Amino acid sequence: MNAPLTIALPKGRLLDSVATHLEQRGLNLTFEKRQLSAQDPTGFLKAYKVKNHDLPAYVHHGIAGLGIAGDDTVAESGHTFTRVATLPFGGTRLCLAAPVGTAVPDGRNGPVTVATSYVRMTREWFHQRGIPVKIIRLDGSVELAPVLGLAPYIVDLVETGSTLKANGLEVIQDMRTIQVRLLANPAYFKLHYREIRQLSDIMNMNVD
Amino acid sequence: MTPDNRQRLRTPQGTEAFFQEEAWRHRHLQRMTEDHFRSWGYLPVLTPVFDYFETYRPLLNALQEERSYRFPDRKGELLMLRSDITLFLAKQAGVAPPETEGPRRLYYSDSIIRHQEEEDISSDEFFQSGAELIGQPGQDGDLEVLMLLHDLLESMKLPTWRLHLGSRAILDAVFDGAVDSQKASALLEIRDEEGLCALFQDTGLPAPEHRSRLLLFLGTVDEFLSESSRLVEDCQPQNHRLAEAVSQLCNLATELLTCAPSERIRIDLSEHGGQPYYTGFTVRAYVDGANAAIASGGRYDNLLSSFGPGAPAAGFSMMMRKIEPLSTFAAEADDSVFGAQGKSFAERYANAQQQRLQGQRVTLDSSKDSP
Repeated sequence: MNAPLTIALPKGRLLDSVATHLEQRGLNLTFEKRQLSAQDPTGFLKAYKVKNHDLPAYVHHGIAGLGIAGDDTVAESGHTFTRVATLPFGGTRLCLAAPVGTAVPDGRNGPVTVATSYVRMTREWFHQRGIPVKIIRLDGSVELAPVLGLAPYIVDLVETGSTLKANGLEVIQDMRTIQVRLLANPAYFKLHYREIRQLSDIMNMNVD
Repeated sequence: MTPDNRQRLRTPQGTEAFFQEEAWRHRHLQRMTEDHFRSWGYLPVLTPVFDYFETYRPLLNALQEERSYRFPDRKGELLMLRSDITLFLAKQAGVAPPETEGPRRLYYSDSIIRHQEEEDISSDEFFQSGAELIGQPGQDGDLEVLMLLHDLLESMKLPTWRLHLGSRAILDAVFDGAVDSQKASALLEIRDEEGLCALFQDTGLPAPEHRSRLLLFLGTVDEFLSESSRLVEDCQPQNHRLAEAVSQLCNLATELLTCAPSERIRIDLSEHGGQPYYTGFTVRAYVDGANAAIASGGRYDNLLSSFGPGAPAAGFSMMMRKIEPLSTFAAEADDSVFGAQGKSFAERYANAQQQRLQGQRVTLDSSKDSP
């Protein structure tokens, strides 16, 4: 029997969606209490539970050959992974937001100050448009930044927009869609592409 | 140790040093590699550690430029540390053209320095060994380089490994001069079928889905031989350049299987070689346990003309520090050292000399075991 495929799964709300998705397709990954690894009974897949932010590092270094992560996590890590499949849940949007009624910045009045947890994607977006930008990195609750006067703009993931609305903000520009993907370390993919395609087929299976 | 001394032990991110047994295993593998190259008639070449940046700038893509270490010399000229031995070697080939007719076979074992992401374990300084065959065009040259690499990896006693063979000529034929090859290479790197389709659609090329499917082909040589005609037909039946490039790869792969076992070879058209100067076949080697390719190479028939008289060339380089921990050959390096016998220094010296003549490694330290 071949060694199981190894996969890093992100802790948190995405983990439940992933585990349910796999279970519906016959791959049962049950993490015992406080256990950070689990193997499905068929021996096809071995999973590690890791912090979302750390997931790219585990896959990049080949500790886990595969991983499930959003485009935002991958883009911020700076690593390159083989894109195996796109999952039908967890999608969201990266948006530029500001107090209601604010215009989209064009940089004519000098550098634009933006607060965000998504530094790389924000820098790249503004640079591609030739707009000078000053970025203030925050680790969470970025909606507070315009309210308290730290920065007039924020870049954040937006699902319903209700948190923005509650703080007097609105989306002024959609920057990109974010999808959740099954990813592979490129070298791992090259040596295990048959088994990984099998897993991808299972994950894409329609169970309705 | 004082706090001041401890401060001196700080090391810049990206540097590494290795000592004693580890360094010995490194040398052991390097020596075997060099012996292998010599046994195929290759001669060593040493390239400068730094050179003028302007010399190489037109040959670097944006990422390579970003990763290179540059600094001004005392006269203000911009210099670049050696980031790719093939590039530096190509210039040396232009500086010192051959005195005799016929192909030149060169090898190197040296370090390169280029920036990697800060969390990358492998550091910014890599040890590369590789070989270049200059002046030998066509399939025989391709096969020589591929089998030189194949046999060397075989000797290293690695876990499961494979050579992934691609073709820059196929990529260029599919791009048809209409696609930004840097963008396409980035999409091929992550095997993004949707992104490739969109790129082909934007350029107005016909059959974008089939073009993407062809470039993402990954399978055995037999699978490629049986599917290649259909893949080309679906893609663009009248593209003779593409048909010719596919036919060349089929011939190369078929011939390769007469010398190498089929389980070692995969046809992988997403392999663009990683360097913008490739023109013909491309190859990367993957081994179980390494988080990236351990070797890469290909044919680059136009590179040398950037520095002087043009000549067809092909070669490969290997990331030795990625190979060492996986190589049973390296692990088998005998690092035993014995102590000399004798009461006085002169006795121990004489005894050590005698043992060394029998091939032993001997110190003058009497406390060590004797063989």
